[in-house]
Amino acid sequence: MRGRRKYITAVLLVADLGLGGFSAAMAVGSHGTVHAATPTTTSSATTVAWTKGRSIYDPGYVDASHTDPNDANQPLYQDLKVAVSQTEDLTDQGLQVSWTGATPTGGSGAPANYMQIIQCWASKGSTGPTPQQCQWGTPNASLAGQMGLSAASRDLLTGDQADPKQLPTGRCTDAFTHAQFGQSAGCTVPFWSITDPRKKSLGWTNDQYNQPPFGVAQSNEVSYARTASDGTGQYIFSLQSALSAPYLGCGNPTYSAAGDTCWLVVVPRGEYDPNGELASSQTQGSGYGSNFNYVAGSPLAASAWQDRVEIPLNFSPIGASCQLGAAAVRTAGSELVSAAFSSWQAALCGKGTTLGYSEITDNQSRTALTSGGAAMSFLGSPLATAGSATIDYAPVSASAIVVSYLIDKHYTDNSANPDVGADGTLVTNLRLTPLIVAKLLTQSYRSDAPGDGHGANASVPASNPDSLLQDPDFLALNPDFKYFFPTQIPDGLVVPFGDSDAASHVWAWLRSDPDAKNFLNGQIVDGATINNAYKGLDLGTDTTVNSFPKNDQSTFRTGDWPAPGYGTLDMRPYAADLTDGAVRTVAANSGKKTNWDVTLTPPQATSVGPQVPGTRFELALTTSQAAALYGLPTAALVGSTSDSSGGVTATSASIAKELAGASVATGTTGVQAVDPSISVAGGYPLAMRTYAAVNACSTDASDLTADATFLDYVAGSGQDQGTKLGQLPLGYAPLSSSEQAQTAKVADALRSEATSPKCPSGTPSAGSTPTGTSTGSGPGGSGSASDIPGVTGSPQGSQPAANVAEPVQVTTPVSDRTVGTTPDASVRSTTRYALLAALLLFLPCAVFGPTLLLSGRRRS
Amino acid sequence: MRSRHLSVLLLAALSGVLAVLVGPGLPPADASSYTPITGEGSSWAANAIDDWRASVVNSGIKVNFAPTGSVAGLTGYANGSDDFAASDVPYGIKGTTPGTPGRGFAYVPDVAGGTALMYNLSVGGKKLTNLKLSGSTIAGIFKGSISTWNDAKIKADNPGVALPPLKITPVVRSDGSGSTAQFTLWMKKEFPSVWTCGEVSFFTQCKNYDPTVQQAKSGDNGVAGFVAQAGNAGSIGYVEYSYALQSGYPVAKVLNKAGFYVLPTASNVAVALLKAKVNTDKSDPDTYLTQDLDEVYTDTDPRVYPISSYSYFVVPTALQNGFTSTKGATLGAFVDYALCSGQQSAPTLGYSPLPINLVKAGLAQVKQIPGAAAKNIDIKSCNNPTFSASGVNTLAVNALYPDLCDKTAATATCVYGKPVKGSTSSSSSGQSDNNSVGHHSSSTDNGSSPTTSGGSVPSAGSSPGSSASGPGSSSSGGASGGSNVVSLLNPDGKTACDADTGQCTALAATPVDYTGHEGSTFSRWAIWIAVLALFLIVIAPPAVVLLGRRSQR
Repeated sequence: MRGRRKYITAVLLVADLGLGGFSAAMAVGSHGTVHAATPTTTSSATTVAWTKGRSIYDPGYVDASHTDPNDANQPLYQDLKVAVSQTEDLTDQGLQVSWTGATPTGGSGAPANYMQIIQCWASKGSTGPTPQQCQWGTPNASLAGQMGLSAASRDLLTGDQADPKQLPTGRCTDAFTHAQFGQSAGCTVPFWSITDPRKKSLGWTNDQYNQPPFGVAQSNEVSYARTASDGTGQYIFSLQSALSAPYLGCGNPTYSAAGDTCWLVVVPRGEYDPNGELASSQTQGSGYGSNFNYVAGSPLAASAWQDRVEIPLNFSPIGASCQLGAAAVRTAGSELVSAAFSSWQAALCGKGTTLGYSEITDNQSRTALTSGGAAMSFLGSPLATAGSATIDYAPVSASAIVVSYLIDKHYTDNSANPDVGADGTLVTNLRLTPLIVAKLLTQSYRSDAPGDGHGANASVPASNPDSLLQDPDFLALNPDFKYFFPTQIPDGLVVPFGDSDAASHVWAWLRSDPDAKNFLNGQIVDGATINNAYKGLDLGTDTTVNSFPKNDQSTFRTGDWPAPGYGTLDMRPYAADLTDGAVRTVAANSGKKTNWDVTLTPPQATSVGPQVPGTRFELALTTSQAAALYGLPTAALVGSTSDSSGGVTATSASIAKELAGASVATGTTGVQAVDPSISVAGGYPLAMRTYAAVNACSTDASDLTADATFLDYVAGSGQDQGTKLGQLPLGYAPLSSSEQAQTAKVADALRSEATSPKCPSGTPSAGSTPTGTSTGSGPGGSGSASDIPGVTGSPQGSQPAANVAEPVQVTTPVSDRTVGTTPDASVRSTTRYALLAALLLFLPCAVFGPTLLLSGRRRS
Repeated sequence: MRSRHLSVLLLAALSGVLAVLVGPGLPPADASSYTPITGEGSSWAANAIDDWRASVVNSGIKVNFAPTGSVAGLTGYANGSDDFAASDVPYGIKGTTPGTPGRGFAYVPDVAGGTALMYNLSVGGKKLTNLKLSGSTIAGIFKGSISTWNDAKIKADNPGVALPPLKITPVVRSDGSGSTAQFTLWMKKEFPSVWTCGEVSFFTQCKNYDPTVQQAKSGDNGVAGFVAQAGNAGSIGYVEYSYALQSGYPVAKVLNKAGFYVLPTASNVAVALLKAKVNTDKSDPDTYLTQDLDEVYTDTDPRVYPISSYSYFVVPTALQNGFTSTKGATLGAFVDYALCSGQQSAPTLGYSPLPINLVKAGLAQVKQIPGAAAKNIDIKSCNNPTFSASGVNTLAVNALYPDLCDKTAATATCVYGKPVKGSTSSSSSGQSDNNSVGHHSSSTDNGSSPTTSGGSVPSAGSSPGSSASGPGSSSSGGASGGSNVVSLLNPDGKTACDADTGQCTALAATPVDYTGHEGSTFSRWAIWIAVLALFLIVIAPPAVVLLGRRSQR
């Protein structure tokens, strides 16, 4: 009997101590294991072979052999395959269009053998769009100037040049005759807007000017895209949803419900004109204009149109997600979360939780956290010291800072260039070292200083390379750039205005690289020295730098510029934010204002405008998610010029790897930082986490409930990566499972605070903590003691009953903020476990202490 | 658990009902059929406009906007190249803005803000953050007559501060700018003896412009970008407050007529604009709703930030220049949003939300836009943060008073923490705190009087900062928090004021050194040690006794 009691007691003791020990271990080892997340990407990419594609989408035309014996161009297209990166859940975004098996484009410009890319809509029940349903014909003038007659327009050639399939007599037919008041009639393919009630009955009916509702600024048409000598080519096509191009209606639920569809049309152009003659055999004065021997005629003309490849596009429904002006719970913070927030918001709106978001800097967020700002703040790093406030941090997103680029290969005619055949196509591979980025960020290339370093008070060393194209470091990694026209240089590296944790991280990365650090410290590295204007900034040592300085003070006068001429901010202006950097890259417009226009009153500096396609070279710091949205390629980062690897680009996998391998604890529980000096194989060093932070005790209950709903979503389906609204957008990496658990836990805590507030109200509450009885038992005095006030007070309290009751409460999150806690009391799991551990371990003490004493006395 | 689900369900159901109830008030056109619109203009207001643009995307509205400056906006609108413009100044100011356009238009106020004087100056190797400037000093600086930082006039504004003999670089706008116009108008009206070049939108046209003195930069972004360079120490420029907040650079406290140097916070701007005279003569669309700020400049409320103003949308009232009624539907919905919910983000960004009278007038103007949905927005459901049930501007009413250390002739050694109106509030927190209104839209929050807003914080005072000496002391701190006596350096437990500069920053921390932290390794081990110690305390004595007895046996 007695042995049995002993046995039961021992078992209970062991179980209790085991559980207590486990809790204590959980309390101490707060960091869960980090699993590398597997990226999920869309599988809606598609490839269409020219031969097959046409039989699918245009069965009415194509004959059994897929050829038209009268179309001399068709043999050139037999091996053509066109691929697009995504065809589902599309929005206003960049779409990568690439092709293989095409005939290489020769010469310069668009003489023959190139692609024309067009976005169109099609009517219900049709097999595809008609030429009238396509956004085409408002080309960039400089592009049209490098093309054959009418090749970039909607105009149909007439007379001898006419397409016999379309205008057999050579005379324009009624359907294409466009009479405008005061002008001679033209022969043009009209545009039918999807929004026009008479869209089925055609005509020039779209607006008061009888012109298509789009112009050069709106249209996303690709007048020509060149094919490299290996038969491949690619283009980043700027897709437009109905938000941007309502006349195409893509994603407009009304039209999709009506059965209308959206299409990408790629029209290959060969070597023959619409009338069947070989373009290159045309002579000057033959009526084909200055580019007389270039392929002529519109892609909308029947003989070119019949050779098109059509790819159906499905857009996400626009605009339906959130009711305009609904009362919203305000959140604010780092732009790194904005793209994900927008997607999540769309999903949450449908579930009845409307959150609003304002982009502010990380520093503004931190200030807002303790000054009654938004209901939730987003930031990269925690408050340096939380002090009296209880801040809950939850990881919400992981992404990276990237160098995005848009560069046209514009080679000099040099047979030594192995890549000369790709002239006119896009650069798709760029490698950069920290040192090169350091040079770009410090105006240390001479072309990034006013007057290319020849301005008044110039501070950039004369011995520095003029630009990337003259930098041996850059050329060692990117040898093809040796053959670029030396005038085709970037407008610097576009960087955002203002301070940010992202900027801090970029500088930390640069300081972690010996070469870059030496360079930033003013040493000569690989023949280049930092711009003197940056020497005093201590960029190589000062860990507080959190912005991108533009510190070159020199000015340069040219043309009509009045004194003192233009300066750094005129030629290398800031982008509004990181996302704006991607926008400027896509538009190939850095916003520089180095033109002085004397025709204006008063004379003033004006924008230079976008770079001309064919010679574009734009680089910008942006986010991985913005680069993904706009379809921009991003630079691979390598350690040094001797690195022969391809380097690491920012992908979901490389971001997750970096976060798993290079995370270090901050002084704040629940917040980790990424240390770029920790080398992680396959990790992308500029990866960053963004946290949601909530000051629970100064946020009212309804906001806390909304915050909790948001975080629950973020910790769950918000991490499913994909292109649908509500999913984690491309460019982010999903959070690890332990991070998701952390976020879910914070959501629980916030919700419990909302439902049963435990925060001290206006009346001081700390007085109820029996700390006066806390003797010199040491650790009780530390900060952690306040987490378990009941425990420190209890030993002498001789009220075991009260203490026994404690754990019951602790296990339910409801008691996270008990009345007796000081404001610092936390809801964190560590604390809960610690409390549980302490109490479980105390239990046997309370029971066995007296028992042993008793038995001791008994024995005596 | 179950009850929580139930309440969530209930909430969802309620909001569903609400949506149905609100539904009929919405434009008949489904949200997805909005035509994109394009505008340009004010860079001063651009941070707010960009915020609204981003916010309406998920409602199906696309608004393109380029911050080209007010004059470019007014010009572009007049030319018909824009669907709307944003401008800080109206048409037809002689020598300043383009003449009244041939195209129909109406002004709609969109946001309020303070034109801040952002500067870059160090004293003794430390960034100066408490620069105070009187209006005439500012006028002298931008005129070029005050050319070094140790000028006697600047010293007079900043007694005891060891200002360096550094050249002042005033940074002005190179483009046609409404903020230049507002700024020069203020100087012209208030300090005519100093500022003699009048009101201009192109600073470079001012006779005082000398490229060797002033630096002219394009847009608020360009001005702020210039000042925020370490190499441009000694520079000072005028930008909307939000740009200074983005860059982390300080802005000068500007002397008001009550003799206080104040910051352009949301509440100080709101107080100032209570005295703005808005033209209410509807019969003249050329001037209706334009602002006359004369009484703002001279208002004697100690909280007034004198260079406060409204910015405007210029919207079409006729189908001209390619403006269609479908575009009108978009513009109407966008402007309605900006006037109501959009104002919530104003203080977070560094602006000040519009008061109720201007929102009402603005909503009425929207109805003139052809194609704009004829909806009657119930002002009570407008979600504008400044509204209260009684219609008073809660932001202005609750604005905190400035500190005595910001009064003229306060010494450099003055210790912050004594607000001008006794215990009712602490200026320091109000001064530094651009986020103080934040998301709080419920009337209970806004309805709280200044006294309670001061008193509701002391719970924060019972901080763990004092836990090193035991929470016993924190309880006394908590008790005192309810009274009128507040810690001098930390008036509300949320704000710390630098004793040297007087600049107050909202902080999480009380300035008590606080090393232990829940997350630190030490504290984790402390738990262990405490637990172990506890265990030993209880079990050791009897065990020792027991063992002792045993061995005796």
